[in-house]
Amino acid sequence: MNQVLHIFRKDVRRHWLEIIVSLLLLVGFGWKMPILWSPDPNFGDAQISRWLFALLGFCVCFSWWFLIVRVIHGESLVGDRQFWLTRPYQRRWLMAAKVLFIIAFVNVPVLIFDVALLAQVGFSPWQHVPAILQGQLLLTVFLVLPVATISAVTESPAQFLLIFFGVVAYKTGESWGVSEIPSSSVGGDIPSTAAVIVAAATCLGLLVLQYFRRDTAVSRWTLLGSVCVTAIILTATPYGRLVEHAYPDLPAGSLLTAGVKIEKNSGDHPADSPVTGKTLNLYVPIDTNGLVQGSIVVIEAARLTIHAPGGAAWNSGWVSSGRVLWPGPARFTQAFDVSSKFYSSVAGSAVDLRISLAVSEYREGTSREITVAAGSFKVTDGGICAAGQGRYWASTTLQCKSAMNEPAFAAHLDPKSSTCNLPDPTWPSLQLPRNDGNPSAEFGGGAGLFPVHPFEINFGAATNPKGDKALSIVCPGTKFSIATPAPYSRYRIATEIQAVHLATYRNYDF
Amino acid sequence: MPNAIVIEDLTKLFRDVAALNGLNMTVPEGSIFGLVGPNGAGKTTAIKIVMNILRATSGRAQVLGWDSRDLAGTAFCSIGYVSENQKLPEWMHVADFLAHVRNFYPTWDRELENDLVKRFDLPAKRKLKMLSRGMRMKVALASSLAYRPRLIVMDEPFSGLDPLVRDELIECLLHGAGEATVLISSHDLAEIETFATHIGYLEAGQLRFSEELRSLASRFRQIELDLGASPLQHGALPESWMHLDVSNSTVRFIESRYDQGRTPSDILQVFGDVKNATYASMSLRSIFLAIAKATRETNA
Repeated sequence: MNQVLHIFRKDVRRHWLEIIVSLLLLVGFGWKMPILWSPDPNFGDAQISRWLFALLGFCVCFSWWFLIVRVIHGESLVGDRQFWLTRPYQRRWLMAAKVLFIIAFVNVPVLIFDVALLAQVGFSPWQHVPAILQGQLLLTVFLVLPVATISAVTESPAQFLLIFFGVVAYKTGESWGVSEIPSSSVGGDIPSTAAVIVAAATCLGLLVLQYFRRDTAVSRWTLLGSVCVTAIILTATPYGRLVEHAYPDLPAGSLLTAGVKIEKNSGDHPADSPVTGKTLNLYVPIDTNGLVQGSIVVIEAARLTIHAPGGAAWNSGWVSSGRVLWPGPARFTQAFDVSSKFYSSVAGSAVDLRISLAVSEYREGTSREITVAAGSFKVTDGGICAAGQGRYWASTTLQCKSAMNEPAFAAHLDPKSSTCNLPDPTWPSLQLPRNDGNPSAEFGGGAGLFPVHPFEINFGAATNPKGDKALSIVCPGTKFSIATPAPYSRYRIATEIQAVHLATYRNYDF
Repeated sequence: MPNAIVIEDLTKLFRDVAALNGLNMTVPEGSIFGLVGPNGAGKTTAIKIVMNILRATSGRAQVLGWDSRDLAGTAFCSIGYVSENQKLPEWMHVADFLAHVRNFYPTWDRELENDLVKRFDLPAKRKLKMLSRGMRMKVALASSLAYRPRLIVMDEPFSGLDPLVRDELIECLLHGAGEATVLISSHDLAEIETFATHIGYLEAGQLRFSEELRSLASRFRQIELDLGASPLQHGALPESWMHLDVSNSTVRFIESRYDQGRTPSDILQVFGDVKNATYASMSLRSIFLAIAKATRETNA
């Protein structure tokens, strides 16, 4: 154990300057963090500040890479000339010393950073310990482990950069390749998680192997092998089947099935515009109704199948959507990339369209009524909000902050209850109930670097009858309700329309 | 005498090239064993395998009773290793480096350390990267002697050093090593000759011979014979004779198994009566040159 502290002290003595620079960068990053908590600026100095802030964030990450690489290369595991190889270093204590250094100067500063920012905004860090630890885990899995592993199989920063950029180039190519596989953007959670687990386990295994056996050739081949395994996992996964398995068919006759239909474009189809490129977009409008009160449906993915006369058929694979549907009639447009070749072959014919939707349904829990206060006010356990200008519209939005990640919420506002000075409160658009929400909390929480998550509760635009003036509908004293949604079920529904011309779906604005 | 190092059938292949080719060697405990041989003979590879820095393709080595593959951690409290191409932590000051390594050794002798620092005239406050090659070797040696190891392994420690520094290193090695076994590889035969007790000659990955330096020196002789007239013919030459050179009535050769009684009778048997014979002792350098040349001739 003495060796751990001894090597740790030596490393601190050696890298004190890098440590100070890294800590100062992190402090600077935290200092400038409030830039993110205000709405997106569109231009000017504020935009430049955001770019500089992003650059600062990159520098923070780079300083960690640099520290990890330098500290591991301090007792390099590659090569046969290092003095320490023939000194009484206990390998396990050497590894422990390096782990201690990384924890002390990467993980612990981030932990303190998270706690300090949460406390500054008004959140109790104790209430968010699991999310803080989750951030630490992600920081370790996605930054510390890969950098430490590549450092352990390289001898110098130059070698590290060579392999690092090789891995980055490979992952970029892999992402592009996977994106070309139908349905991969929807059914990728399981294979991506499996690939991350394989990569993390390989990194851990290689670190142990290098520190205890120092077999660089085997380690490098293993690293290459794990890259191949993750590539196989990501390319050989039957994404379409995964989606169908995760979203089973909804039993016939259920309410929602009856309430989903493709809208047919009325009248003759316009003269078709020329087809250029390998694909073209079709925009299919879909009407929904029949959702029970207290339900929220998220259209996770959609698949378009086109059947043409003569048996020709084409399908888009599962395309991610993310549309959120609230009770009451609704209409949304789903875009699909269609093969230009297929489109041209059936453009003159009437075709049948079938759209399958993979949906997640949530049910709201007990709702609470909240009154908008003049300053900041607590909305849920995880949110602190303030009424203010939204990004584009005046005061229909609550600017909120939550701890670590965006919470799940469903908010409802009846504009009739608005305390704002409305010029014509009988205007129909002010009679519609307004909803906004995030059905499921995000995973990850910015891997520890973004402990305070800004988000908006946007109750939608409101204008005066002429439509030339934005109206505020959220003012101090305005009441709205908020509830926490819980997952209810996941299923697949389908709807068809027959004898339509594809050309009528080429324009987004019907 | 028990052996500090025992090497058995050690082979090391770098791709298809054999750096060691079934090497067998023993280093007796308490000896100062000079491992010599031409460039590429496999000296450094053998030492690195012994020190568990490299892995052998086959064969094994035992070091102070440990299998060399298990050599790690506390085992190195008994072993000192100094190499010409060792990477030291150059950012450290001399004093910091000694303080750093000191903590790893329970048997570290502060008095001996201070003595070595004085003897080597090491600048405590200077960074290692600012030191000359010779000074760096001195620091490495001081840091490997101060814990009184049982075995000191030195790989080409004198390479590229000026004679004065070499002398200082040798003097300190002999002063600090005490009863320790020393294995030292070197090209510098003249230096090795002054203090080695045993010698091993490595060539093409194999040990050509290994023996006590005294016995080696006593069995090699440069012999010059004055036959009085050119020899018309002579009998079969003993295998132990090397580099026979006949010039008029003078014959020169090297006897590799000189024996005061047997060698003159061999000469008599080959050449008959000789007018005059001189038997000159040979330096280690001359012996190795003769061996190397003979090996090359045999291989050719």
